[in-house]
Amino acid sequence: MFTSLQLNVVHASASKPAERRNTDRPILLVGFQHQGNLGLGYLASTLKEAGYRVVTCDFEAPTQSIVETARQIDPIIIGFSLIFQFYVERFALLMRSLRASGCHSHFTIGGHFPSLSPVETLKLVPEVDSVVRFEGEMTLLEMADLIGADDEWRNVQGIAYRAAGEVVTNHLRPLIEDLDCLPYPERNFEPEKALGRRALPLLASRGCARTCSFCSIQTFYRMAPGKIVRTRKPAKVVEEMHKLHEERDISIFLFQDDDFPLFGPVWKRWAEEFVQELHNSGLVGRMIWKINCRADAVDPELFAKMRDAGLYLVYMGLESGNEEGLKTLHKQVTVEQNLRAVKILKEVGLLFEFGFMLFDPSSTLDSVRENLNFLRHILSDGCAAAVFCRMLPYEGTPIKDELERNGRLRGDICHPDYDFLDPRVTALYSALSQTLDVWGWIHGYRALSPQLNWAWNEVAIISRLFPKLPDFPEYQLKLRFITAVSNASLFEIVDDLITYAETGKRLKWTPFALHSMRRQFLDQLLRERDAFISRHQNKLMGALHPEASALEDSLRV
Amino acid sequence: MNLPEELVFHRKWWWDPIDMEIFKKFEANVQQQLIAVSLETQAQMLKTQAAGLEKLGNVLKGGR
Repeated sequence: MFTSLQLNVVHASASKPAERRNTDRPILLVGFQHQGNLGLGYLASTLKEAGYRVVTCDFEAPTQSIVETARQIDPIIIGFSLIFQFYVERFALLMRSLRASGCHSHFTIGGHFPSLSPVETLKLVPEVDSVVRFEGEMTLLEMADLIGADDEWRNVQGIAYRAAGEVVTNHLRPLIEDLDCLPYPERNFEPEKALGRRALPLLASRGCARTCSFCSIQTFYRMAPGKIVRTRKPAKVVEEMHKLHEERDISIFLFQDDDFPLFGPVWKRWAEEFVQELHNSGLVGRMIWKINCRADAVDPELFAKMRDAGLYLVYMGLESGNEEGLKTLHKQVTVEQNLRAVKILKEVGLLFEFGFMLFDPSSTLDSVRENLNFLRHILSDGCAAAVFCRMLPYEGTPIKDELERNGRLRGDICHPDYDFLDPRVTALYSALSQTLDVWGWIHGYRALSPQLNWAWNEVAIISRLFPKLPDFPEYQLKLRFITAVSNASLFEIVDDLITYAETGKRLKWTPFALHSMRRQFLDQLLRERDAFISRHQNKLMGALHPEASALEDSLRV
Repeated sequence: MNLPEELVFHRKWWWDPIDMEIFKKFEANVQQQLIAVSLETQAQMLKTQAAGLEKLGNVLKGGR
């Protein structure tokens, strides 16, 4: 068995001349493909540009089909992209099945958890040969070149591996300075669709300059040498959008940037240039786009300009509605700033979604109540459906280290957890998870709130990418009403649960009653939505397929 | 309602592995509790039945 001792070995970069590259055997990449995995996409396109054949398997595919693919193509390397640390065991099982089937390819793994915890990864997954740490495009290419040519790969910069029972971590490779040097990511998956309009993800930047305590992105980009946040050239981003619009009929672009470049004078200029490029390209009016950003970046003037250039949805990490919570999470924003951001987005007429942690390690019954009142304040008008979760201490986050120092960390590496300071908060949380069935109301693809939010997405898409529909305002009013009543009910339930945790007073609700209430909201939503869409299906289908519609008209004449 | 495929309410987008994993755990807890309660009830019922049978046995024995 190896120990946890790490040896930092100084190695020069072992880049290999292209003429010695042996691309006879392909490379297999395995990772989540749901909603498009741009990380895998960039790895695949970089390898392909160098002449390799790359096959990608969805991690959710049956193990046997992944094993069969590996058997058929006999890859040089199988690269596993591990996004969520709680899937470590499942990745280990898959690797075991591959090895059991006689697969001798080199197994390497990348992603947040392996990058930040290579020793633990190599310990938890004995089948893995190496860890590619941090941005992996150049490292994986170099590994493929060396392993493909049967050369020594252990000197490659940015990897970790086992040697003589110990883990060796090589010097880290600097982050990629110019993101526009990378080829466009491979997107060999079917775009998601919303009312027939096709959507794909893309990136305008990498990295996040902020230091939220619950997020491992900051550690990920700070540990590796190089500039933390790198933005692409606005013209290059628009060029990629144009290509996707022309070649794949994409009209919804989902920016996956950790924090879309907006904050401060330099990034504000970047955003303005991006908007200008969109206008110059002729894309405005033919596509819409979504961004992720922080509340302190929301500015009325800039967001109105972005709205006019197609911005339709803003996802914000609000995270808390009380000052102590925001401090614990190190958000470096105030409740006032969060409220201001929401107010601006409503005034500018932009749809918004948000991340919110009703519970965090500093939670008290009072702070949970404050959080609930914050949600009431921003959502009572039914502009969006209420969602919330509990903060979990992921690997590589400052808050996980702090909980560990204070002896509050529980669970294991795959299922990290913590204790609340007040046992009544633990009781509240447990009652909330069990009575309310958060799974049915807030989380998961069949839950009520996400479906309400999806209906609002459709509203934004109809208003931007379809012709005017006569009773559209009435439909929006109905949707607003259903969302507002659903939110109010949810808040009342949580309020009641807080009182239960505080006083032990019997609950007014049974899980069965809540289930049927939720079901009623959902039925009402689907009834109104389907009736509206059904009334206008000819017009909507005509807009989606103008040629077919024109042909039909001419035949009718 | 019969809508063309493209216009059907699309729900797949929110499938979120983080959510899935966290709340699957809670669901499992709830299920376990329900199973425990039901087993307890069953055990209670069996105990009652056993006691009843014992009584019946005694009566029959006495009758003989």
